[in-house]
Amino acid sequence: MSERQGGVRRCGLGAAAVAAAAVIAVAGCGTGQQAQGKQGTQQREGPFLEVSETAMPAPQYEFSTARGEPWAFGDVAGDRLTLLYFGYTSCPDVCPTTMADIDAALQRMGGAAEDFDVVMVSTDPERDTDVQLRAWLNAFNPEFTGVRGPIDEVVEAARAYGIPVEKPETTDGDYQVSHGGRVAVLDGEGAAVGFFDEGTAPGKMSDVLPGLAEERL
Amino acid sequence: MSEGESGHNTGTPQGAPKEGPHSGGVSRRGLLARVGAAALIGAGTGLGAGEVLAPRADTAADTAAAPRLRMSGAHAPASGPGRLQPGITGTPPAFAHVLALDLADSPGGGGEGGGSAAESRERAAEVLRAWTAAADRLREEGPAAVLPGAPSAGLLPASLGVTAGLGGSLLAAAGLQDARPEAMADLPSFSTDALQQEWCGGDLLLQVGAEDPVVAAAAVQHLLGRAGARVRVRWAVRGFRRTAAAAEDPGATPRNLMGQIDGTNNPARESSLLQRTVQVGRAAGPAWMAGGSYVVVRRIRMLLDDWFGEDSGHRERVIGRDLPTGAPLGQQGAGAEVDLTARDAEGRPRIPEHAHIRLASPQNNLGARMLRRGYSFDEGWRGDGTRDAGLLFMAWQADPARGFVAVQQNLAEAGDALNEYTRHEGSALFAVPPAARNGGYIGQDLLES
Repeated sequence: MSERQGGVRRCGLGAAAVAAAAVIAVAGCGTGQQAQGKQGTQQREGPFLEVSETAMPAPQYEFSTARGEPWAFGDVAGDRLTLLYFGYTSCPDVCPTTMADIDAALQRMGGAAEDFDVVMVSTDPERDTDVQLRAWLNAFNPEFTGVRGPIDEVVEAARAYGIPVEKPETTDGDYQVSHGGRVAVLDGEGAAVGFFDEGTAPGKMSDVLPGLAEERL
Repeated sequence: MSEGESGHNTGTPQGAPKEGPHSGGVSRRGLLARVGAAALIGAGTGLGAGEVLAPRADTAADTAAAPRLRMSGAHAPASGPGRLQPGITGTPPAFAHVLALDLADSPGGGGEGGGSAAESRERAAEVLRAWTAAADRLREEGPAAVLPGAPSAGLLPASLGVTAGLGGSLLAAAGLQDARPEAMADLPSFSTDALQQEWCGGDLLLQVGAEDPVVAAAAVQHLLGRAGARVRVRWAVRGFRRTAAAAEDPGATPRNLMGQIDGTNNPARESSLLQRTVQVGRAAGPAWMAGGSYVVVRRIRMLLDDWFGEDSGHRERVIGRDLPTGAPLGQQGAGAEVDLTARDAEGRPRIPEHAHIRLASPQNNLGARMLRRGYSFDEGWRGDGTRDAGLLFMAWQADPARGFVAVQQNLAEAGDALNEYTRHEGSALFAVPPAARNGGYIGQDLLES
């Protein structure tokens, strides 16, 4: 049982595999200030890549929350932005750190945090049962939403947002699971309008988010 | 720890600066000058001896503080609701006394069948009130000032910190079962347990940490004196870690008595993850524990002769880490992310199937995590010649079921290779409420509910 370290999180490696190659090249490597995408410009501000002009529309999948309610990317709250992450609860470090940092960022924002939902879609739906996913998220914030779906669809949905993840696989007794590196910001229609780099500090997120809410809501 | 014995701060490792002109207090007191010039890096702060710094936040970042500052300051945070008590996430000082105490059945020997729930509750409140007040004074005035003629006279506060907790048996005795959080469920038994009742449980926990053993001992004496006949000690362990003064790198993760660098995969200092791993959330149970934490204490005897009788390669495979550096086998650097899938040229896992770090990993325990903050102990030899030394394992978490319990169950059931060299002989779980409000006391919200 282990996390796969290679490939999917590595800069550039996943780029060819996904539709939005230009976005990945910028977001994954984090060097360029501005890049010419297929359809327009992308604006990088520190660890945040805004892609509003090339927003990636919500993929059409019907998943469900860990509380047993139906959930779809296109049905996210229309009057709020959604911070979306693809991860799993047995993740040694990155996923819990990401959830903790998002919660810390929202706490810093006080009332402005009301403009945001947080969703983690499990990349390990077999082990992340509803109970497991819910209990794990509660340790960060009981209001965070856990979402499960068939793993093949989860992988496709993540790729539609330009976030390469892979299906868990068992080899020689090791269980390998992957997670997305970046946190996507979805607008009220579930389109990704920006991404935070993996490891973005809470203070950097809370610097960007209120302005984004003002702009997009 | 060979350098600096003469008090001349020359020839320091890594070219540490000599003691500056402003650190006269250090020389005068002589304390650090005798224990190693390496400790004096950055010590030229001009603090007079005995000068007490304003209480600092109990943040783990304190590790980076120069030892002189750690001697002068106190870890304890100012009181306030929702804040962890000291002695949890801060830098562990080199010495800690950990005591479990029971409420005395009938103080004064009265024959009234003492021990009613109301009496137990009142007695616990008196003890915690006394400890909270004494801990405040110790922090604010320093241990030397609090007790005339104390053995700590002439010593700095040495980061003295006092932590108090409550055991499940106390809640039962005080008629407070209804207020017992789910997270405070009794620990299950584990197949590898070798528990001895005299080292298990306790109504109350007292942890007294300091960078100096005399400061700690004096504070324990004072605190127990304040509790008087209301309590008796059930078990006690004097724990220690390597001192900052002796460490070439005081910020490095210390080794336990088996020689393992112990604590590498703890949540990072000052991280959001650390706080959420350790601290009970507001919505996660009864209000009296919101902002507090739960500590699991395990008295783990190490079979040190057996352990050091193995060759170093075997010892490394038992843990899954390189002994000199602490790096996961097959990787570089103690901080390297553990890659459980790595294989050697023959296709065998680099980190063996039963290696401790494999079975303890969050990946194999549904993400269970905790802050490990244990202390070595060495109580000499038992009457039968058994060496009584090991690790007083202390794990802090918001919910033991998703921390220590999950991991220990896996270590026991999946056959941790380390089990052969360790014996879990003592065990306890304590609820450690948040720091007291100004003028209040630790556990007040429970005991006056």
